[in-house]
Order: sequence, then C-alpha cells, then structure tokens
Amino acid sequence: MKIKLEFFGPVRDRIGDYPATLTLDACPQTLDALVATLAGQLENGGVLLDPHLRIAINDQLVTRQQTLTLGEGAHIAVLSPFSGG
Amino acid sequence: MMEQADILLSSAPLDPATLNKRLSAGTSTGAVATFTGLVRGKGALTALELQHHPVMTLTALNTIGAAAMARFDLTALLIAHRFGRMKIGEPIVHIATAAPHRRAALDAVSYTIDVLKTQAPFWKREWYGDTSRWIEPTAEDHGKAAQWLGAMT
Repeated sequence: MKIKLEFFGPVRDRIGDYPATLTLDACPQTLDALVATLAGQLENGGVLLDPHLRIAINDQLVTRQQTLTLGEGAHIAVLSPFSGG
Repeated sequence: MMEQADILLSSAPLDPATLNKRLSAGTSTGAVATFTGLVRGKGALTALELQHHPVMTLTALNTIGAAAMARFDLTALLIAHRFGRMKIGEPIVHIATAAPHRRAALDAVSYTIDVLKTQAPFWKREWYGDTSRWIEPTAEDHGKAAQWLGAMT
C-alpha cells in the first residue's frame, strides 16, 4: 500500500531526507503498528519512537485506541509537539 | 443565536488595533479583553519562525474558538495567529473577547491562549542569523492547558 508522508516541526529536521511517497511493508491497524512500520522503513526512523509525537491520517489526529483504516494514498503527517502562541 | 468565533490565520503582520475593530460586539457587551503575544527580543535572536499545518491548524483554531464560545458567556471572540518569519516586537497571536461581564471576557482570553499553545498545530523556531533552534512546549504550557481541559494533554 502506498502512502504519502510528511513531517512537521523539529521531527522534520531529525528525520532528514525522506520519500514523499512510501510503500508500506505491512497494513498496520493500530497507531503503534503504524509507527513501528514507518520506523523500520525510514533511514532515521528511530526518531519516530518519541512518544510525544502525534500522527494524523488524512488531516485527522489518530489515537492509540483507534483501529486504523489506511486507504491507498492515505496522507500520513507526523507532528512534533505543538508550540504556538 | 450565538455568533461564531472570528478566526484569522495570516502570513502578513497582525495589527491589534485593526483586529479589535473586527470584534463584532453588540449592545449587550459590557467588557472587552485582549491578549497579544509578541516576538520577545533576547540575546542574538534575529527572527522567529512559526510553521503551521496547511489544513489542521485552521481546523484546530476553529475548534478552540467554538469551545470558548460554548464555555463562556461571550458576545464575540476573535483569534488571529501569524505564521511565517517574524521580527522582534511583531505580534504572533492576538485574541480579543467581548462579553456582558468582565470575568467571562478575561477567562475566555486565558482559556484560548492556554489551550491554543498545546492544541493548535504550530511549531516555533528561533533564528540567530543563519542558525536556528526549535522551541518545544514546556511542562508549564501543558499544565496551563490541562487546568482548562481537565487532564494532561
């Protein structure tokens, strides 16, 4: 399954170069499984194991309790802790 | 009928005086309160950059605005937030509330800025010439939001 990938905030610098589109090796159904899959497939993927990061799928934040339904072309955003205002 | 919050997300400089005129307060308004967050000069800081998410940031500001309107007895609420690169002294965020009584106007301003800091997708980076440093939210930021939201976020 192909997904689109984007990083925001400090994690964008920490991850370094990354592919805008990624073919996932698995079809994760939980947030933890998704993070583990991404961490395993990206060169600096270990930075994704930071528990303070948030993940959005198609512009919606997802929680650990949710069952994920990733569709082809899903847009996954990895968000650093927010620091506005 | 309760008015919706007025939300502005802008790459252009914010002018608090102009923004206050957008506050659609009616004749039942007895109090107006405002908060403006500015880029604070310190050391060799040359600029502050605010990054945002192209969709989720505006959605979050609308959600926070709607929550404040529902929680407090307001006649109007304005949230204006800047993104992009800012100079020292420029406004980052401006919040204005109008209410029949002062307590609601003041509390709604505090609620909005405290919640916004940890719930709206913005990322702040300080620039010192050609080098930069990301600003992470502090435990105090999370604690202030949690006071309003009832749990650590």
